[in-house]
Amino acid sequence: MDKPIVVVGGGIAGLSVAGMLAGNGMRCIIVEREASLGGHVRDWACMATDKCLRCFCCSAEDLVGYARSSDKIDVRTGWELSSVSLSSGGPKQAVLKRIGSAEEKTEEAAALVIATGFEPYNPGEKILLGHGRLDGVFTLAEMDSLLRRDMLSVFTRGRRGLRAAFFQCVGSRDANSGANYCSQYCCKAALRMALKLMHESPDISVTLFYIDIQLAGKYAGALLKAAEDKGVRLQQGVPGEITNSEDLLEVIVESQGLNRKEPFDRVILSIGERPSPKQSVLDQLGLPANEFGFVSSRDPLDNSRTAIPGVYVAGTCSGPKDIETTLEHAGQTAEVIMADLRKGALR
Amino acid sequence: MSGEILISSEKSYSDCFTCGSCISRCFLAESYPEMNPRKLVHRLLTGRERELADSEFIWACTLCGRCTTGCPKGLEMDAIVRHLRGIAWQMGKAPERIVEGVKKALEFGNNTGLESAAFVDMAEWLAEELADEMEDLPEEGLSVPIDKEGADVLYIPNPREYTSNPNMFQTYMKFFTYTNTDWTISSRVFDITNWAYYLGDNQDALVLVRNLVEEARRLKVRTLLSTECGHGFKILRKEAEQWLGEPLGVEVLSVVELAHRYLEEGKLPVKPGSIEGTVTYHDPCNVGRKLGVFEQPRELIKAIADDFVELWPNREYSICCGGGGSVGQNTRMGQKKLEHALAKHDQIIRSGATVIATSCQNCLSQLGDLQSRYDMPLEVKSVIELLVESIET
Amino acid sequence: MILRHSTEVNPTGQSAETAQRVLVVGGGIPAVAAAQALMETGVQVTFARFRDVAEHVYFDMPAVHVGDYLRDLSAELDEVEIVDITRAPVVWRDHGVFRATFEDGTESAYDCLLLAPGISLRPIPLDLPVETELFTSRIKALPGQQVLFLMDYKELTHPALGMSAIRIAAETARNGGKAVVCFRHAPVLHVFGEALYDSARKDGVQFVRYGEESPKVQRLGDGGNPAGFRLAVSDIIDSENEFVWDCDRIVAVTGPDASSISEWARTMADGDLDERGFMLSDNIHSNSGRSFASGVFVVGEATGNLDLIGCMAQARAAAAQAEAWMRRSRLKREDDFLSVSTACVRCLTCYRVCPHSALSLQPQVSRSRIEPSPSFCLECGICASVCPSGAISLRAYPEESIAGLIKELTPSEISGLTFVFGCQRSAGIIAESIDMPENARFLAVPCAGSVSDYIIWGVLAAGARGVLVVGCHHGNCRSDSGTELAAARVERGKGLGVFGGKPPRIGYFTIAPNESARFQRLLHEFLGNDLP
Repeated sequence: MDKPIVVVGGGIAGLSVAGMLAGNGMRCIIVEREASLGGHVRDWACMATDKCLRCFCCSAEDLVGYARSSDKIDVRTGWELSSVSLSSGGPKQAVLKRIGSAEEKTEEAAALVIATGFEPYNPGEKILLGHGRLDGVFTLAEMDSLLRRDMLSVFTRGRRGLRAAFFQCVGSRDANSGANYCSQYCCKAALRMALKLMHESPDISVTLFYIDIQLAGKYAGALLKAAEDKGVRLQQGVPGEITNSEDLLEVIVESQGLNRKEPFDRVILSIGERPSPKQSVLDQLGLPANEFGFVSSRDPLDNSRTAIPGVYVAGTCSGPKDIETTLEHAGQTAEVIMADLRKGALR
Repeated sequence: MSGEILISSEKSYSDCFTCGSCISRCFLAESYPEMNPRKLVHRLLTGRERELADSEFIWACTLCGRCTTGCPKGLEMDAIVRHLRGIAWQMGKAPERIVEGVKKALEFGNNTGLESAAFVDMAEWLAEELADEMEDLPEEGLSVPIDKEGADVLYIPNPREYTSNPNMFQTYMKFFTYTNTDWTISSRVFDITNWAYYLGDNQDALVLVRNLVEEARRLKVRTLLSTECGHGFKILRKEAEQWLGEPLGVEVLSVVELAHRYLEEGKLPVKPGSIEGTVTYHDPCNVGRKLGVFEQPRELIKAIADDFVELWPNREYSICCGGGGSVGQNTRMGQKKLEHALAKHDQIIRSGATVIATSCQNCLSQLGDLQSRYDMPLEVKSVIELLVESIET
Repeated sequence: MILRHSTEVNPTGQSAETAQRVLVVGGGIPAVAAAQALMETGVQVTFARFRDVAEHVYFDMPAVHVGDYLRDLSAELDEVEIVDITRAPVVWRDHGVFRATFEDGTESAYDCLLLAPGISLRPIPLDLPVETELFTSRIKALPGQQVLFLMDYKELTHPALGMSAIRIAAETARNGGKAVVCFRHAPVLHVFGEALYDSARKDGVQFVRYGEESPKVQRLGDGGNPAGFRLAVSDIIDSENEFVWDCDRIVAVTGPDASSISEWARTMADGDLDERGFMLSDNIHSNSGRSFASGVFVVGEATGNLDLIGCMAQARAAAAQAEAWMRRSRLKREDDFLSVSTACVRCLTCYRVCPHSALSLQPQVSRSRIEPSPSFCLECGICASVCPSGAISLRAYPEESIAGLIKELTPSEISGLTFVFGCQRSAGIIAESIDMPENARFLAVPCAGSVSDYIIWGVLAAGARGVLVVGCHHGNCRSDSGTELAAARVERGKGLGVFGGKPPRIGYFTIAPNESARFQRLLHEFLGNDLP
C-alpha cells in the first residue's frame, strides 16, 4: 500500500491525522496553503498559571515537530490541492499546485482528508462593540497573540487595578449573522484567559459576561470552579454595545434586576468560529455543506466520513470545536481511514 | 385580516434566549432602571402581559427598534411593544390624545380633526402667501393642485405642516415648484401619520393605510409621496402590501428619495457649498434603521454643504431622538421625552455640528425641543428645508 | 458469579508474537466502540463487561441510532472474548505485559489495557421531594403531564444529559403536556445544539433561568399522597418576580459522579479523579485517552463531559492511539536501552519513582531484582537520576554526555557558562528555533526530572557559572512527577553548599513549547543579560 493519503490543511487536525497515520506506517502528504504549519493554534498562547490549564495549545508544536521529522509525511507548505479525480472506490488522483507558480504534482491518493479549519469571526461586524475603533477592546485571539509574544504590557499598558470584561458569544449563537450555533471553545478559552490574566497581573479584576457557560468537554467544570474561586465575576447577559467616555469603556448591564452602567478598562471579545471560505476543490468534489457552511459528514455518529467514499473530514471544517475535541476528531478520522483501508474499502 | 397584521408582532418573542444584548442598546435603560427589553420579553413569556400593558415603559418606548437590531434571534421589539400597547388600548389604558387622534383620522382623514374644506382653504392660503414672498416664481405661478387626477405624485403631508408649523408645508410647496414636480394633494386624506399603529390597534391602522392607498388609486397617481415622516412612510413602504394582502399598484417614495432622484438626474437646482457650518444628519429610526434609507439624505446634504460630519453611532445604530413612536404626541409623557433624550443630546454635542438635519417630522420636532430646552448651539433643519435654502441662496 | 461467553480462554503469553491482545474493561457505548475498532484492526480483544456502567448520560438523537454503528459483540464470539464481570479484575504488570486475574480465578496476559469505567449520576439532592425522579436517557416523553425539569440544582448538570432533557421536555410539550426547564447554564453541544433549543421553545417549553439562589420545590396536598408540587424560583431575568408553577412531576437532571470502578481505573491509569468523577489521567503530551500509565488507555465519559458523539470520537481515537502504542512498544520490547547492573543495592527507589511502571520487582528470597520492562518505558531517565549507586544505565540519560562536554571545555570557558537543562518536549523545542546567548549552553534532556543532584552539583563543581533547569508546566509533564522532582531538587540545592563563598546559582522554571518569547525573557533574566 504505497499510495499516500492526501491531507488538505496543516492545522492541528490535519497534522494529527497525518501523525497518527504515519505512526501506523502510512505515507501522508500534508498540503497547506500557508507558509507554515500549525494553523490558528500556532498563534495561540500557553494558558498555564502555576500549573497547566490543559488548553492544549502547545500540542501544535509537538505535531508540527513530528510532521517535519517523520519520513512518512511529505509536508507541502505553500501548496494547495487544485483538483481531484474520483473513482467509485474513492479518490484516484490528486493534483497539487504550488501557490503562485505553475508547478504541479499529481499524486495517486489512497484517501483524501479535508482539514481546512475555520475562520475566526470578524468582530468588526458588530460595530457597537467597537473593536478596531475603541482602544482597549481586544479579541481572545489578539490576547493570545500578545501573550505568545510575551507582550502583555500592550494590554495592561502598565496600569494597575485594571477592570477587564470578557464578552462571550461574539459571533456565536447568533442566527442573525448566520451562526446559530455555539462555537464550543470560547467559554473554556475565556475562563482560561481570565485565570491567566489574574495570574500574570494579580491586581486585575475580571467580569465575564455570558449567555450560558458551556461545560462540555474535559476540564471545563474545573475551570469554572477555579474561576469562581479566584473571584471572576460571572454575569449573565452579554452587552450589545460599548460606549466610551474618556478612556473608560462603559456598558449597561442588568444586575440584580436593575440596569446599571458599569465602567471597564479593557474588554476582551470571545469571537466565534466560522467556516473557512469555501475552497473551489470542495465544490469540484461536490462535498455538501451544512446550513452554516461547515463540511457535512455522513451523520453525527459517523462524522469523520463524508458522503464521498475515500474523502474524510477532520477538525473544525466540519463544525466548531475546541482543540482537544479537534484532536479527538482527528484521531477518529485516522482510525476510520485505517479501518477502511484494512477492509479494502479503499483501493 | 387583523390576525395577519399581527404576524410580525407575534413573531416568536418566545425565541428569546436571554442573551442580553438588547439591554445596553436601549436608550431608556438608565431612565427606567427596573425595566429593559429583555425583561419585557421575559414578562410577556411568563404571562405578565397585563402588568406590562399597565406600565409606563411601553409608552416611553419609541418603537425605535435599536435594541433588537442584530438580535441573534431576530426579535423585533417595536412589534412586541405594539402588541403590548394593543392590549393596553383594549384595556382602555392608552393615552387619550392618541386614541382621540385615531378617531379623528378615521373620521376626517387627519388626526387633528381639520375638516376637508378648512384644509383646502388653508393650503390655498399658504400657497398664496408663499407666492407673495417668492421672488423667483416660475411663469405658471404657484398653486396648490388639489385632487388633480393623473398627477405624478400624490403628496401626503404630516398634520404638523398645516397646524403648528405651516412654514414646513410651504417649504415642500417651494420644493415642488423649484423642481417642477407634477404633484397633487388630496382633499380627503391628508395625513401620513398612523396613530392607530402606535396604539397597536391593527384594524384601524389597516383602515388608515387603505385610505391612503385607495386615494392614490382614485387620483391615478404614479407615486404615493410621503413627506419627511418616519412611521407613516415606513408603514407604506414596509407593511402596507402585507396588510392589504395585495400589491399597492403605486410607487411609495419619500420626498427625500424623490429629491435624491432629482439629484442623480441632475434636476435638483441646488448650489454646492451653499449651506454654511458643520452639518450632521440624524437617522430617523423608521427611515434609516427600518427602511435602510441611509445614503440618499447624506448625499443630498453633501451636495449642498462642504462640512459634513457623522454622529456616532449612526445609520442602523442611530440613537433615537426620544420623541418617536407616539412619545412626542403623548401628553402623559410631558417633559420626560426630553430627559430620556440625553444620549442623543450628548451625541450631537460631541459631533460639533452647527446644523443637524433629519428627515422625519417627529424627529424634527423632538430635536427642536431638545435644542431649545438645553440651549444647544445648533439649528435643526429638515433635509428638504436645507435643499430649499440652498436653491434660494 | 462470572459468565464466560467464550469457552476457550486465551492461553497466557502463547500467542504474543502473532497478535496484540487488549483487555477492555468497563461498559457502555465507548467500550463497545473502542473494542470494535480494535477488533477490526486484527487485535485480539477481551471485553470484560461491567454491567454497572450504565448507558444513561448520552445525548441521544432520535434520527441517529447508535446501534447502527455498534456491532453486537455477543454475536461475534469468534472474534472477541466477552467476560461478564461484577468487580474489576486484578491487574499487574509483568515482563512488559499486563496480567489480569478475573473473579473466576482465570488469568490472561495482555499488551494493553483500555478502560471504560464510565460515570454515574449524582443522586437527587435530599432536599427535593422524595417523589423526584432522576433523569436518565431511559425517561422518554411524559405526555399530558406538567413536568418540571430541574437542572443545575446544587451541582451543574452534565451537558449531554441536559440536552437530552431538553429534547424530552420538548416532546412532553408537543404531546399535550407542559414542560418547564429550570436551569442556570443551558448546554449547547455541537453545531446543531442551538436548533434543539429553538424548537423546544417553539414547542412551548418554558425556560426559567435562576442564579445563585436555588429553586424551592414543595409538595402540595397531604403528606402521603402529594397532589403535585409547587416550584418557586427567582428568575434572574426578572428577579423582582418569583416564578411560581404547579406541576405533576419533577425530574432532576443531575451531574456526573464517579462510577463504581472509577477508583480502580484511576489507580490503573495513575491519574486523578476530579471532584466530579472525571479522570485527570491524560495531559497535552499524551493525546486522547492515553493515561500517565504506560499502555493504559481510558475511553468514554469518564474522561470528561462528553456526549455520545464525543464519546464515539474519543473511543475511536483512543483505539488508534492504543494500536500505535502497541506497535511501538512491541518494537521496544527486546531493546536494551535500559539496563540495571549488578551495582544495584536493591533500595527500590527507582521502582517507587518510575512514573511509567516500567520497572518491576522480581521478589526472590535471597536477591530480589529490579527488572526493566522496556515496552512500558518512556525513557524519561527519572529512575537513573534517583539511583544512589549508578546501577541504571539508560541510553537517553544525559549524565555521560554532560561529563564528556565538560571535559572538552577549558576551566575558563566553563566559568563563564550557565548550563541550561531543558526538557526536550518543551524547552528543547524552543531551543531549536532560537539563538542561545553566548554565556549559556543548552542541553536537551528527556525530562527535567532526569537532571539529578549529581549532574547539578557536578556541573557546578566543574566551575560553571550556574545551572538552570527548565521543565514542563506542572500538570503537563509527560512523566507526571518529573516537573515536581526537578523543582524540589533545585529548591533543595539553593539551600545547600556554598561555592567560592557564594550561594550556588541554580534556577528553575517551567515552560511550554509555545512560549518561546517568555522562555527567552526568563532565560536572560536568570543569566543577568539584557534582553536582546
